Amino acid sequence: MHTHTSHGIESDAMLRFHKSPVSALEPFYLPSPFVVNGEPLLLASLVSADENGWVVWWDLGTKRPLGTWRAHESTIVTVQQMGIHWDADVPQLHRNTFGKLLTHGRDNCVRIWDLFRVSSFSSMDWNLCKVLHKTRDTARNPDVYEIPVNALNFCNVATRAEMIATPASLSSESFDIYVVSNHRLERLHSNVDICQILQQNQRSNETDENRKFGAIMQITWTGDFQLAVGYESGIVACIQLQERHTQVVWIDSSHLTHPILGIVSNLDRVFTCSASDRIVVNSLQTGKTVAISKIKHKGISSLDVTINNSICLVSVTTWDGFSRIYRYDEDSSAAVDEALKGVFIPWTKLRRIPPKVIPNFKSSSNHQTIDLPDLKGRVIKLSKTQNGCNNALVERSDGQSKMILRSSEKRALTRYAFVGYQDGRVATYILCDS
Amino acid sequence: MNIDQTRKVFRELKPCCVELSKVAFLSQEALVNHDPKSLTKLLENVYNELDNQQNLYPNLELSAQLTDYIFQPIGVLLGHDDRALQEVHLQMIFKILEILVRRGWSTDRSDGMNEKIATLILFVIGKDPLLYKGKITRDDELLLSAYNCLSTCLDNMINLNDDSLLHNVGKLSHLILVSLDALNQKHSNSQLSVTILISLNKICVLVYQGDQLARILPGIVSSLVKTIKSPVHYEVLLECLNLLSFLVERTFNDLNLHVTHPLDNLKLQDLEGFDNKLVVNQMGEGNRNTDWLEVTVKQLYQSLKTISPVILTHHKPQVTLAWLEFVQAVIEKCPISLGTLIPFLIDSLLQLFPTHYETCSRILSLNRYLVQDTLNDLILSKIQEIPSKLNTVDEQQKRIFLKQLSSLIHYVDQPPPALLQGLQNEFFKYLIGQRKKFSAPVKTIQEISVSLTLEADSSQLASLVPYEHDLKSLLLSLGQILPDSAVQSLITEFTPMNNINHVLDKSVSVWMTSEMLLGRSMQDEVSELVKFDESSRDDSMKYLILETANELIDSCDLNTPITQSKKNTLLLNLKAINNIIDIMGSEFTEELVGSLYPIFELLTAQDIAVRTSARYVVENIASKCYNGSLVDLVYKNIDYLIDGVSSRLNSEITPYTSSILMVLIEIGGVDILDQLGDLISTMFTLLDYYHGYTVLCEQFFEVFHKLVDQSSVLMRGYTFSEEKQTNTIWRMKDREAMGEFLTKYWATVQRTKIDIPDTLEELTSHPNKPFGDLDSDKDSDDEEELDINGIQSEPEVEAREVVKEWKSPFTPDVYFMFQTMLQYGDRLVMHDSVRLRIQIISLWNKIFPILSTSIDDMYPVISDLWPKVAEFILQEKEMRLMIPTLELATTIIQYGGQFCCKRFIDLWESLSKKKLLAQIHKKHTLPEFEEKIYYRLMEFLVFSLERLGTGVPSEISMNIIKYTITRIDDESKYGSVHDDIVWYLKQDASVVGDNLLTS
Repeated sequence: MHTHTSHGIESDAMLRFHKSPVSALEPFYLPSPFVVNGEPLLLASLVSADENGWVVWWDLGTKRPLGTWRAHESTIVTVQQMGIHWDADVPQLHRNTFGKLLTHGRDNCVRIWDLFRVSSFSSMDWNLCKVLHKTRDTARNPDVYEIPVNALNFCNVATRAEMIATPASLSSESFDIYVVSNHRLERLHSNVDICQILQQNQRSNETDENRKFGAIMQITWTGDFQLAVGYESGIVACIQLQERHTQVVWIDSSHLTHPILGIVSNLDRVFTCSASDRIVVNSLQTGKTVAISKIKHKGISSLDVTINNSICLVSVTTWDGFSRIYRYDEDSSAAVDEALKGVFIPWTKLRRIPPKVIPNFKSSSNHQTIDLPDLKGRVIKLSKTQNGCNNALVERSDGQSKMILRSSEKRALTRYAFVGYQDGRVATYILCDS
Repeated sequence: MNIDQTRKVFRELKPCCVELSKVAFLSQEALVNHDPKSLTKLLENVYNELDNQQNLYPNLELSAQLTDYIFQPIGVLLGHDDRALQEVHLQMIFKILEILVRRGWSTDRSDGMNEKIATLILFVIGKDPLLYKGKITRDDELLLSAYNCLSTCLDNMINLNDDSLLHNVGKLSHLILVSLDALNQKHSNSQLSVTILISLNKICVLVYQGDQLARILPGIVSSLVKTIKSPVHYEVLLECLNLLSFLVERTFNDLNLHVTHPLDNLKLQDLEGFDNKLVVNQMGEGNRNTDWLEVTVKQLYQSLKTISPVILTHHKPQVTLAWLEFVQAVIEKCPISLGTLIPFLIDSLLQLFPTHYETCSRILSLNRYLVQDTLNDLILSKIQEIPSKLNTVDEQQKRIFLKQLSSLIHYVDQPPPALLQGLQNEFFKYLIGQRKKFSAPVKTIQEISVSLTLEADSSQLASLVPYEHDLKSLLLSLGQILPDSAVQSLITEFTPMNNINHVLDKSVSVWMTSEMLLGRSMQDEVSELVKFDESSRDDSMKYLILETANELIDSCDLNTPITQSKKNTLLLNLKAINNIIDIMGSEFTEELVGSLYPIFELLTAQDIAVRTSARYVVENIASKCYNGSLVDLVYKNIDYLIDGVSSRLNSEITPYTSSILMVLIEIGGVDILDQLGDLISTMFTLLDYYHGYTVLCEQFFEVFHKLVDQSSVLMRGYTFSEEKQTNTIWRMKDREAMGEFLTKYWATVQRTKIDIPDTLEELTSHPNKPFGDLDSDKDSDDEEELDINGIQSEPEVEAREVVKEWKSPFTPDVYFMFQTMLQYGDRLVMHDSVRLRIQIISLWNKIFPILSTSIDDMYPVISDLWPKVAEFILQEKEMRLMIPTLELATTIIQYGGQFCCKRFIDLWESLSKKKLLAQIHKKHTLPEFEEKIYYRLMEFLVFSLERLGTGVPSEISMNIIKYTITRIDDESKYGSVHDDIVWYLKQDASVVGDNLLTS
């Protein structure tokens, strides 16, 4: 039963498990017995995490948990599927790490969990791992790795293929790079400080000794050896990792003075947001700013980008508790500045409205204050679907011709927007093709 | 029999034979004048003795001499003319003769006696052929004994190959003619008809030759038809059919006729009229040529057509089995000569198929190669008949037609696709036609809620058409036979007949396909004759049906009145889902995510048929997936259900959305309470926005009521502590407590002096709260405490530590959820809707026991709420609110105890100043409703006095009692503190009723 919320988006379901505010969401893709355009089809599931350290892995077909466990002692900052990254709507799988989930909590730990193992990539045979047995215990020991990290600020951890970028253990202003290979964890780069690199390269007069970018707030992979890093000062830097040294590709200061709260790379573009009301888009290659949009709502705390039917959708949550989705267009006639050709067009706005009752019975004990639910959106994520992924084009990989997808399987092929709320609920919305 | 036995028999028989002979040998005149009764007695003696002997010797064989000896007087008697012998004499004579024929003339030594006796019987019954006028004048008893005797004679002749009777064709035909006339006369005794038919059968056996039988066939068949059509005993019918079988089998026997091919140019429809066509090629031998066959087949068809309704609808299975044997005889022995009749006969077989499955199957498997074409043609003609047959008024005919189709499809090579489409079209047209006949009335939410209780009438799947059961059987059979492509075609190749009703049209297809799938899943029970290709089965069809059914249900707008078309759509899809549940069994749990809520939503549909059907489906899910437990079904899927309700509340809120929530709460009970948090929050939000919509508010408060009712289960183990209530303000019950209090108080003062920050206390009280929240809470909290209790804040800190431990059986979240409900009531209690106001006040009344589980959280509520309650009691003009308000006030006094003392006294002071009270008080009689209110007020006052005890000063209590005692004079109700005042006032009755205002 879907109810129409707004044009292009339908309310789907409310996932109820978390008892504390949702702090992170991640679409988690599973192999399936289907192929589309000859390529293995991935079905989406969802991993949600909360401020109490709990992780829930949701089956989007049944809308029920496949597994629940307490991964960390405190707020989980990052959940990210390993072994997969998307080039537009094409998934790239990495055999060594596909099936693993990375979680990063404010208990100064990064943990890597084995959720499923692919026994054969040719036939996409796979099986679930033990963490899925719905044991609601505190499965503290990660199935694979545990890395102590610096989590003093709220900086995330980013992974691509076998690489993991984390805030440096010693300093919040620099980062470390690890590589997971052959069941070993190696630190490839240690304490990478961009300011220091810039000074060494003497690239700019701006980077004098007194100038610091501040703590790293966001970090993301933009290529196999390329990272975009957002700083407390509002600086965004793109850097290229090389075997011996690291090279700064470009630096952007459009968000200056506002801490960077989100970075996403998609379509040869880097989208960034900050505590201000701006979304900035830079060219990944040159760093040239192609769009700056003031959405008039400050504190863009969560950002995600996806391509839906050749339309680029940008989703954000802001401090006012609303989740908004914009259509990003670089060919629009609405662009006023030739240099800034990208335009953000409001697409939809999502909000759960809390009751407005004002408690008038004064308390005589700590229990008496009536806690009205805070229904603010905290984090938004958009799922990705493969090119041509619709019911008509999907076939069984075993060659059976007669096949009609079950509704639960269809649900896993749907394009979703997920919003995690302050009251622990996760709302799922369906992005329509229209 | 040995010689001794023969002698013994002779000795026994001799006396009565001698006695009979004495009369038999009298002259004609003497015999006529002889007492007929005496002769009857003598004949009876002979018969009885013979009967005794045959009983004594089961193998009794009478020797020729002994037989002649016994027959001699009888022969002499028969030699006299009619005047001498009456009917009763003849009857006895035939009885004796029957024994003689059976015991004496059954061997080849009979010397033609069988034929002679048969001739004698013919003469007695039918006179001379020339004098015979086509009417039998003999009575039934005589005829019965005569035909019994004749039957025995015929047996002997058959056994002895005695064809002497056949040599005299005139006699034979006269015998047959007389017998048929006897058969067609009305008889009181069915045994006579049976005996006549048995005799006729034996005559035919005696004749045996098909050529000769062909001559007598028309006459016999005609009489048989007449007999069968008249109301007769079933044994008569059995004999008729036996005779018919024999005749037809002998006369039309393919081998005997030497036929090799059927009458190609003669079809069943040609037989309807008597348009005689000549067949050029001659066949057969004797008088049975092609012309004869053509004419006879027509006659036979007309006859069979006439009798088949009687036979096929007969309640005795023996009769239908006899018909089956007849059909078997034709298909087995005469498939070529009577090939034209075979479609008709198969048609009749199909009507009997379900009740005589095995026999029918056996018959149809005979001469399969000859029958197959007939079957194929038959189904095509049936398909053409679908529109006309399913549109008749006669429901019985529709059922028979569908039954025939159900049977027929098992024997054709492949049921044509047109069959399914034809059925679909007609069923859809029928449902469309229903639209004008009926329009469901709109029900109110209250009516729906009442019918949703678990104790409601048993659920069932409502039938859409009277012949639905038969259509269902047909579809089940089709499902077992048809390949996947054909089964799926109704959905995958669906093309609507018109755009207006395409939802209903598609629903018909979905339901029909689901029935066929169900039939497939029941494969094991089907005949081994049915074959299908297992590998061709596609399992995904059930998912497609389920999904389509869900979509179709979803497309029906439940907010608008349910039209007949919508009702049919919903019922069809519910049936389809129910079938899928039956197919999938416990696997259906995986599909609940998409299916459960839409079905649950239909539990609140406006139409009762839809509701009961939805309930049936819900119960079926519970039965298949949760061992029949509805509670388990709801509890284990509460996430889906709540999500469904939540989604509706957030998007398409309807007047019926809340009723489904009530169903959930009703079934799920208190166990689901914790999960309803955000749903209730949404309802609060909606109340914020839509408080102007009375219906919505009323429904939400209904839900709140239901929640409170269910939550009271948690109160069962909880007893309201009286100790907590008495003197709870300072929690001091005696001097020791006072001392303890003072010690703590001074200790606190000392701590204050050494400058311990206030926040320390606050932190211990609020370990999980941010600093900011605490700071903002602190001041206001303390102020309120001073306000309420009139004590200083520091001792209160101690008191807080005492109550820090949460003892309520409700979780804090649930507890405060109820408190919030109370607050929303507070906002809406001045609403225009009196019904809503009553709902709110009653809800408050129910919530107070829950709030009392955490006393310190209850007092502020009382503090806020009491002024409103007092205002209602003192000033409310809407009298219907008074009783609920007084009940609420009573509850508050009960749980608030001494905390309410001053409030109660204030209320009384205000109340006593109202002149109305005094005026009412002076009246001895009041209108019934006002009297009820007044009495309730008195009850409230009395209860308060009893509850508050010494808290109420005696002067005030005296004044109150002066009023209340006129209605309630039982001093025990006033409690131990006030009972003596009551007693005193009762003694001095003159005081009672004085003007209160003087006190």
